[in-house]
Amino acid sequence: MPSLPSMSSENNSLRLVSRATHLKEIALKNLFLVCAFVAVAGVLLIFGFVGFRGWPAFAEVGPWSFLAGTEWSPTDGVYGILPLIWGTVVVMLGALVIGTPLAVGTAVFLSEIATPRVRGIVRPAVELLAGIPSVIYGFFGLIILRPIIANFTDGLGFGAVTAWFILAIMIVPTIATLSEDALRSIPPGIREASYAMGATTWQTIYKVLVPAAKIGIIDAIILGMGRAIGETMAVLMVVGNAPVFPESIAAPIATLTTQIVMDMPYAAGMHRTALFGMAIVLFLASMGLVALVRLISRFQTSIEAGR
Amino acid sequence: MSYRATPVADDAPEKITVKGLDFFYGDFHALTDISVGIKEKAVTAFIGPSGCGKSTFLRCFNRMNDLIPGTRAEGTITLDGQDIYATGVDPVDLRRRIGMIFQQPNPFPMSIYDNVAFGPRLQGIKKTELDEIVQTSLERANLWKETKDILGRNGLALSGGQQQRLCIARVLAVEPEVMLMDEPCSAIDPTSVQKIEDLMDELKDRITIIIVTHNMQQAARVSDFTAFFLQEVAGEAAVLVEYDRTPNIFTSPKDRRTEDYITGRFG
Repeated sequence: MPSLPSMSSENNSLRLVSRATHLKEIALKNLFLVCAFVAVAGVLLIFGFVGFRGWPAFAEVGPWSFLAGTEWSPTDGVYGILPLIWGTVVVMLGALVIGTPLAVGTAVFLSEIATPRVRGIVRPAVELLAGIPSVIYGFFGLIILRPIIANFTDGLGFGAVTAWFILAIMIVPTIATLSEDALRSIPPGIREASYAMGATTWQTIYKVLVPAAKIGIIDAIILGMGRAIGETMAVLMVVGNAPVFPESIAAPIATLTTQIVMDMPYAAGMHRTALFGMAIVLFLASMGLVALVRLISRFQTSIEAGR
Repeated sequence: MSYRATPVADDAPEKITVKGLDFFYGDFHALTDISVGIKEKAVTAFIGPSGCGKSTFLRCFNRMNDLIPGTRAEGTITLDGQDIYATGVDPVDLRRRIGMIFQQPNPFPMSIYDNVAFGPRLQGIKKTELDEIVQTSLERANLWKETKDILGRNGLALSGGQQQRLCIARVLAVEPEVMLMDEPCSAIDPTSVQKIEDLMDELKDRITIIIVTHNMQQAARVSDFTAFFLQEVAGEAAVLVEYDRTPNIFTSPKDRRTEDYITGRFG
């Protein structure tokens, strides 16, 4: 039988951290710090750049006539963006009205009703919706949806209505996946309690689960709003791009993002500055939405703490 | 050990009668050939080591197991003589008559008032009657004094023991005939345990209570009847070893295995 190697007191002492390991630790720590810093620096740089270029639009046109001016006519030197803000809001709200029930319904189906097998088909499909390039949505809207809308209205089908349907589908993945997460994070005991109280599946969903996931669903809708405000290409292809207050929901309009894309290639001087000014408005809108989400989740924490 | 003071008469009617019940999770045979009669307006305790199927058995009474796909019950369970597993029986209606309290207090994330009013609202009871039902139920759950000024506060803001009594109030609000309690005291503090045990004593005048517990002292303190379950070989179906009046189970068990369990030889 071989004897165990003898343990002398020298090689029994604790080993010290080698210099190489120590340096590697420090290097990795800094590498991750840099990664995180790039994101923050990116936001600051873009905001600084857009702010710097767009600020004169507020200063020289005047904040009131810029934001509340009802006429956008760069060739005449008139830079009122209210029709564009209006267009953005109309397109977003319509998309939310159509898209939210669809998305929340999808979320409820996925989290409460679908068997694992069905869920395994539907969920990737919903996620795939988020991966389709927006130009393809635009194409679909232009070729398929626009003629249908044109049949029901007296225009050509370019306008807010067409954009509503396209955007509604586009925001479904955002709202549905986040709402589903909110529903799934409800402790299973809550469902059991509801069923044990003699609630049906439907009563459990609308009296217990959806109210319990309310805050998460509202967050999801707000993020869907952000997506709807920011979406450019698909909207551009179907709204008709007329920077005016539309006569009907099927008449051509323009949004902040679509107008920026349309004008940027040729705009110069004050016109170009005004486009950057519009970018500031968009930036502030999305910052506002993110802040709102933060505020709401803090509100939820305080409810659960008991007030 | 201390026992309950008011014994239930021998000829007390059976509220629930189980005959030859077998239960399966898919291929797994969890319970085999269980027959037991649960006396009306008494407290019956189910004891046994972990994993012996006592919770599974409890969940057969309100058909909560139906919610788990692939489960199957054979044999009969009758409530007031009516088979609850018969075709056409609505489990939703059954659960309105047989309330359940869980191990983890699970109040809904809504106000205390709305928690208690939940069941009555499901049954379409008028708004004007709700205030009274909420108060009565909270009183019967011994929670009214602590909550009467904070009815609008979220149920989750209460302590664990208060949450459990809120769950009891929520069940009582629909005037169930039977209350199933699945280890209701194992996740809460000792003072609250005392309150809930007192509560069970008060409630038993009106309703039939079945409690699953790990704690043999608790079974001895609160119950009139005790059933001892055992899964003798891991992976095989559990059996009901012995069912008798609680003092008999704890002082003169007829089965050797019961004696071994209550004297702490295993489990």
